[in-house]
Amino acid sequence: MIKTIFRLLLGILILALIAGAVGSVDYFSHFNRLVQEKFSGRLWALPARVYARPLELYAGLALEADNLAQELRLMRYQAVAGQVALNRPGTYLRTGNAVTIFCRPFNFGDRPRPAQQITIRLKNGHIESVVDVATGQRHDLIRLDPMRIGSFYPVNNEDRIIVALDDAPALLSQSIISVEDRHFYRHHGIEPMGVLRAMLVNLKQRRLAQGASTITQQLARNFFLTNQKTWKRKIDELVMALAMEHNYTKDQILEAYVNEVYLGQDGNRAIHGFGLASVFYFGKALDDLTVDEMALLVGLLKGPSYYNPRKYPQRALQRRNTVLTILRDRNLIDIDAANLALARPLGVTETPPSDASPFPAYLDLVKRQLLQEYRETDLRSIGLRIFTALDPQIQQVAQQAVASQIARLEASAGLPADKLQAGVVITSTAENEVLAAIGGKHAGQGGFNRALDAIRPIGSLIKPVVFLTALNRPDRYTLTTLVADTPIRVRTDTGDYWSPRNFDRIFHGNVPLYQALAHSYNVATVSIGMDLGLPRVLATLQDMGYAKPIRMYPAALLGAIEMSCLEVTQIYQTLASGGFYSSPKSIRAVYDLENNLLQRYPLTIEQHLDPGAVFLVNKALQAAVASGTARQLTSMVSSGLAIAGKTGTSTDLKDSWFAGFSGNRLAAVWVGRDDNRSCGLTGAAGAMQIWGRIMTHIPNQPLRLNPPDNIEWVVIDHESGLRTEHTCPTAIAAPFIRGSAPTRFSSCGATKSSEPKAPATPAEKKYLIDWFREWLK
Amino acid sequence: MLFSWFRIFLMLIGSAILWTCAAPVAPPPEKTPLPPPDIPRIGKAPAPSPVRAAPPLAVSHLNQLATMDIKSGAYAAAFDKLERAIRIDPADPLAWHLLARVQLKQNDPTQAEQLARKSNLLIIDNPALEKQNWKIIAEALDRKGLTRQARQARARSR
Repeated sequence: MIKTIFRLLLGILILALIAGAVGSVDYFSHFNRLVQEKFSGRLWALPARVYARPLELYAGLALEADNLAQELRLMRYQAVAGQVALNRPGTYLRTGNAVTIFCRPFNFGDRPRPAQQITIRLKNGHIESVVDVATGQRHDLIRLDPMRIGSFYPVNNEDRIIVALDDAPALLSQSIISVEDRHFYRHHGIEPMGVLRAMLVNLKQRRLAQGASTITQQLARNFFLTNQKTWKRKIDELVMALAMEHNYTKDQILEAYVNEVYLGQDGNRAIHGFGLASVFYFGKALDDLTVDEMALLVGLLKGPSYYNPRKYPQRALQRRNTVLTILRDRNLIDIDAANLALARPLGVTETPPSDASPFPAYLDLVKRQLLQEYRETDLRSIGLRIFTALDPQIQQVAQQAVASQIARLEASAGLPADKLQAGVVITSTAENEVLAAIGGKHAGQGGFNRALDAIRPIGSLIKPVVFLTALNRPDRYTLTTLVADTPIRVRTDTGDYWSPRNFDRIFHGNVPLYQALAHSYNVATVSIGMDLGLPRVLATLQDMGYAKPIRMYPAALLGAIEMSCLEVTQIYQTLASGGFYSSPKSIRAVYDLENNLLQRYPLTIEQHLDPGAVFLVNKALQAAVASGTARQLTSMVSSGLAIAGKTGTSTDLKDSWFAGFSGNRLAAVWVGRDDNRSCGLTGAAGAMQIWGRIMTHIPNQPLRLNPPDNIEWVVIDHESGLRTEHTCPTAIAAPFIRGSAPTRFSSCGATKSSEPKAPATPAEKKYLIDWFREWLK
Repeated sequence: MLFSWFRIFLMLIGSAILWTCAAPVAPPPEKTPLPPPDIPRIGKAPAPSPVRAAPPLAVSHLNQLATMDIKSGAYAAAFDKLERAIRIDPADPLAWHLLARVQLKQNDPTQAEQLARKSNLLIIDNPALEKQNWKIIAEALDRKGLTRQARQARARSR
């Protein structure tokens, strides 16, 4: 009783002191307001989390067990050795050709999927079945929780995972209270005795050292105040603590404390709150912690750096055991459990789960797209959940392909080591979702993002644009129209004359248009382009989705125009989708912290090009792979995929490009040097090698070009270019825009013998042989 | 005065009749048969290869669920499922068609028309679905006030 009165008196004394010190009631109401503002608003700046696409599992999906295991590891699922250990979400068991996954619950926005176990059976590189372990029923398809590929942190670099007090283990709050503030549920924010004791000690030592703060005071300090040790700050802290207790319940204060406290450091990133600390030190959720693990976290409150268990395990162990002893003495745990816990090792994971994104180039793209719609401060503070289209399997395949091929190419081109660089963008052909982006040969390190920022002359990658412009004029050009690959002089803006030459320095005479594209003949391309007019070619380029303003000049017809990998994928995507434009998309949806949809980026398409003309160009691009400049690709990629693609090489072999697509995947690859000197590689010798490596290792669907309504197939005599019977040995089938096929008929044998005529010139001879080789394929 | 009004009326009627006659609906082009398989052709026909997994059941499952969503008016949910279907098989004309239907229901005639055209581009020998796409295109064009093109599209939906 006396003690209580004494305490009360002391409290009044201290309050009087404080009131006296500032001499105003306003002082209290100022802090009162501050506290209310803080609690009524969002308590913390929360980082945005960025996720990859969720893996959809279904019977028929092309998937190797190794790739599945690799993705599960990326998703931080733990492999376990036996059925017994498969006892909590986030684990998986691989046995022979089956993988059983204990899926974590996940909210995809539309509806939450609970934690559940599924068994996936694989056979011949495909999923045979997906079965629910609990019910034994087959799933038609199921989504795994997506891999987190990165975060955008608040400016102060604080990271935390918010936990509600109700969801946290009861022992956690009990331990915190026993260790930090035994009278938490009894005091009013401050402990007058403690304060007085601290004051005396401090006066005696003539400095401010003694702590003895209540949980409420600690929270006040963390929330509002600096870490300076001054009398003024100390008094502010007391008033603030009183204000907090005045306005909020003990549980609200404790919950804020559990989430606020600083518990460690990971490079720039500050680890706050027990939710994140649990993952950071033990790699598991707060719920799954054992008594000794929880005791260590509580012990860290006294000094996360001093007791850093990864750096000073001995100190940390002692501190943990001190906490465990307190818990035992206060009967929070029984003696046996305490002894067991005391005997256990620290159990901290060797390395903290890295939070540096393994895919920085992609994250960079996501951020740039977000910054078009969100303020950077919001992006870093309101806890957005961002769902992207990134496919971790494709991204990894591409990173490995770049790493392995760049080293090989450097050697083959006789370049000094570490000179060659690369950029890659991979998209889906139908929706133009960006599935992977690689910013350089050390893809995991970030830095200069060549996928987006290496803007280089695209060389012959421009040619499909010129040929599409031509084929859009079926009255003048068809795939079999003979075009002149003969010396020409083009007058430039400056009044000079320019005489383009072919890569092989040979003029090929009159060649069918599609052959000129497949073999990438420069001179024929310039003849066509100048005939059509530069503005028309530019209009086609813009229809294909190139948005920057450019000035056209004759050399642009051979790819003097500069683009990034992303811009190249855009123009080729419009071809791959049959003439339907979609803007490139890395983000599918953005949700807020409470799972409310903020923004969805739906699939939209817009027909920009005549599907007939696109069909014809794509046929010629298939010919480029089947028998043109990209024919070496057939030794890497299955010819059954019927890939359409184009090589590109800039002047003096400075830039090596390849762009192409299958039925569902499109990729653009650039290889070159950062110092813009010659890398000594053509498109086929450089970029195409990486492209081929990527495409052979990701699941692809064959490119089936379905002729649109305005396409007709006509049998023509390849020698005369006239219609003929299909029984004629020189007959070939060629697609035409309706009404553009030759009308004259030449009966087989009526004008010539069935043996091919001897060609007139050497150049023509080459083309006839090509012609045959091509069509007999 | 009355006479001149009557004359204008007659002229209007007349021109309306003439206009309808002057815009004969072009017969839809026939699908051309593919070239005879025994002669060489430009480009490359994909070999019927084991690379392609048969169109998975997952796609038809999603299409079915989306169809039910459309019936119950849950258009956002339907859209989401159809996007997933297209990611699995971008060449599935039914998913694109259903997406067009969703967009028409959501009163986006421009997207509805585009998606239906895309679906038509992918159809191989399914005249019924093709007609349904033309129906959507006609409806979308009507809503955009493009009556003449709508009529042509409608002719192809029958």
